[in-house]
Amino acid sequence: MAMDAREDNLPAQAFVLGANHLTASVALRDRLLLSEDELPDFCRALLRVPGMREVVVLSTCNRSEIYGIGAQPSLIRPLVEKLWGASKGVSEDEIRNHGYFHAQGEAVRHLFRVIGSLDSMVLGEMQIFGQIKEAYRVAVEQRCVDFYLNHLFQSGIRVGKRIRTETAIHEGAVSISYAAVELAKKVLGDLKGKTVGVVGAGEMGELAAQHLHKAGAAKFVFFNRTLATAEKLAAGFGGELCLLADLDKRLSHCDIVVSATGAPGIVITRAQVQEAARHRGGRPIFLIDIAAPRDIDPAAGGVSNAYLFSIDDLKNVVNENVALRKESSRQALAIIDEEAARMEGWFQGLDIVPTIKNLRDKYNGIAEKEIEKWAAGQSEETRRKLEALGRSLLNKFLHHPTSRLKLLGERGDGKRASYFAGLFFALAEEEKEDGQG
Amino acid sequence: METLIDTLKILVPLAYLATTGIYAQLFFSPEEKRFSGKAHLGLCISLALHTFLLVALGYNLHRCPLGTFGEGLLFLAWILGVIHLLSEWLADSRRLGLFTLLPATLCVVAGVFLLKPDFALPAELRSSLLVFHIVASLASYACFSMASILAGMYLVLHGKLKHKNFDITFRKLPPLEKLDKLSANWSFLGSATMVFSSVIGITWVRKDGLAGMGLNELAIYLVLAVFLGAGASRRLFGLRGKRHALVILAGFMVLLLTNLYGTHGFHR
Repeated sequence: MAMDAREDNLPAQAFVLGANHLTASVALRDRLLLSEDELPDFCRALLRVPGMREVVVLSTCNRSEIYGIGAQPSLIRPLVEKLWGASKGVSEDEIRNHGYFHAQGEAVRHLFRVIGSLDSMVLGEMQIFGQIKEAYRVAVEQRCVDFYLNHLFQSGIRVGKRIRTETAIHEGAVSISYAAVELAKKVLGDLKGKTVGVVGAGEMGELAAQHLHKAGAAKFVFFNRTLATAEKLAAGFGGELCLLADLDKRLSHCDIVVSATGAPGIVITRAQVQEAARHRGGRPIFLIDIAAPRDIDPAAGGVSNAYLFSIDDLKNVVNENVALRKESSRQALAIIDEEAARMEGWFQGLDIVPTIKNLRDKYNGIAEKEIEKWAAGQSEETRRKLEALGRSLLNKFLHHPTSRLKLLGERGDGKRASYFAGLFFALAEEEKEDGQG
Repeated sequence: METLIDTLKILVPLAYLATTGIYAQLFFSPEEKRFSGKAHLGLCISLALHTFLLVALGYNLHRCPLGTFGEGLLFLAWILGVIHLLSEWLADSRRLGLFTLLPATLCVVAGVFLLKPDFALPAELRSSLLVFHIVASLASYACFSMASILAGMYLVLHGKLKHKNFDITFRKLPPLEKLDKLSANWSFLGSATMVFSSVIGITWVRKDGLAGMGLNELAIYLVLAVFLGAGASRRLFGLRGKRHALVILAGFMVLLLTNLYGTHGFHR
C-alpha cells in the first residue's frame, strides 16, 4: 500500500500494536517474542514501513508491543502486522485477532499503564519499568527514535517514577515464597547472617530456600530422612546436611525453619519447638509449614518466642497485599489521567506547528525580498544592519500571533486556529502560488 | 513578652495536635507518602514554636524554665520531640511518629495548663547543679517513655503475629527484633541517665547543705531496680521479647505512679 506523498505534512500520531497476557495465549506470545538479538534489525525494518516515522519495540515474556509514530496509523497497522507476522511465522489474522491496536490518546494511556505496572500479570511488579527503559535504549541506539517518541518515552519514564514514589502499588509480597520472606523479616528484621533450617528435600523447600538466600540468609541446614536425596540441594546452597533424627539437637540453631516434607504425620512437635526456644535464650524462632498435610504441630505456635505460619497464613498475607495494591492502583490511575491529559495537550499543540512554520516562512520571504531591494548598491555593513532590522521586526510582529496560535493548539483548537490563520495571513494562497511557481 | 508567651501557649499545643493528626494519617493511611513531608514539616514547626516558648519563659522568669511541674512537662515533651526528630534522621522512623508525639502532645497540653509564669524559685533552689539534675531526670523520663512506647509496639506486633492479623498496623510496625533491641537500648540509656541525675542530685544536696531536701529512696530504687533488672536479666538470662517488653512497661507504670504520688519527682 503506497502512502500519500503529502502525508509528511500531516500531524504525527502515536500508536501501539501488540499482544499481551490478557489477549494472547502463552504459545502465541512465545512465537511473537523478539529476542535481544532480533530487536535491532526488527526496529530498523519497521522504520522502513511506509508512513512510519519513529518506533520502539518492547518484547517480554508477557507482552510484545510496537510503539510507533506516523501520520495515518490505521494505514500503517496492516503493514506492521504483515512484517511482524512474516518475521515470526505468525499469520496477520492471528496478530489482529489476539492483539490490540490503540492510537493517539489511547496509545499514550496504554504506555503509561504498562510502565506503571497496571497492565502487568502481577499488579505492581517493577520489572516492566526496566524492560521499557531497555526497549527505549535499543531504539535510540538504532536511531529509530526522534522528537515524538523521545518525548513520549521520557514522559512515560517520569510517570513510572511518580507511580513508584507516590503510591504503594509495588509494596507487599504477592507470591507465597516472598510472603514467607516478608514475614521472616517482620519477625527477625534483617535476614543477613541468619540460619535457615530446611526440612525435606522437595521443590517447595528449595524454592523457599532460594528466596531466603536472596534476602540475605547465609547459613543453611538441610534435614532429610535420607542424606543422599538432599545432598545435591545442600551442595547448591553450600549448606550442611543432617538427618531428620538430628532435628532435636539442631533445631535451636535455626532462626528460620521451613518444613515441606511429604510425611503423612507431624514431623516437628510442640515439645521440640519448646525445647529449641528454651535454648535460644529468648531469641525468636520463625517456623513456616508449607507441607500438606502439615509437618509442624499447630500447637507449636503457642510457644513463647516461636512464630508459626502455615501455607494458608501465607496465602492470607498475599491476599491482603493484593488488595492493598488494587487500592493503590486507583491512585496510580489518577496520575496516569493527569499525565495523559498533559501529553494530549502537547500532541494537540503540535497540530499548529506546520501553520506557524508556514507563517514564519512567508514573512521571512517577504522580509528577505525587501531587504534585498533596499540593500542593493549599499555597503556590506548597511546590508547587515538592514538584515538585523528585518529579523528584529519580524520577531516582534510575529511574536503575538505565534504565541496565540500555540496556546490555541494546546487547548485543542489547533485545526480551527490553522484554518483562520491560513485565512487571515493568506497562507494557502502562498502555498498555491509556490506550487504554481 | 507576656503577650508573646500567651500566644505561644495557644500555638504550641495547637501545632502539636495538628502534627499528631498528620502523623496518625501517615501511620493509618495506605498512601503514606502523601503525608510524609507534611508530618516532618509539622514536627519542625511545632518544635520551633516549642523552643521559642521555652526560651521566652526562661527570659521572662530570669531562670531555667524547670521550676514547676508544668515547666517540667513542657521540657519533657520537648525532649521527646527532639528524640523523635533525631530518630527520623538517623533511623528512618517517621511512620512511628504518632506513638512518640502522642505522649509529647499530652505533656504539652497538660504543661501549658499547669504553667505558672510568675512562679519565683526560692533562693536555695537557684543552683546550676539543680538544673543539671532536673535536665538529666527529664532526659531519663524521656528515654523510659521511648523504651515503653517501643515495648508497647512490640506487644502489639507480637499479638498480631500470633493471631495472624495482617492489617495496616502490622504492615507499618518495624520488625520484632528491632523493636526489642531499641526498647532495650532506650531503657539502658534511661537507667544510665537516671543514675547520673541521682549522683548530681545527691552532690547538690550535700554541697548546699539542704537538710530539708531528701530523696524518696524507695521510689527511685524501685524504678531503677525494674529497668536495671530488665537490662541485666536480658544479658544474663536471655529475658527478651514479650517478657522484656512487659517488664519495661511495668517499670514505666512504676515511674508514672511514683510521680503521681509524689508530684515533685522523687522528692519528699
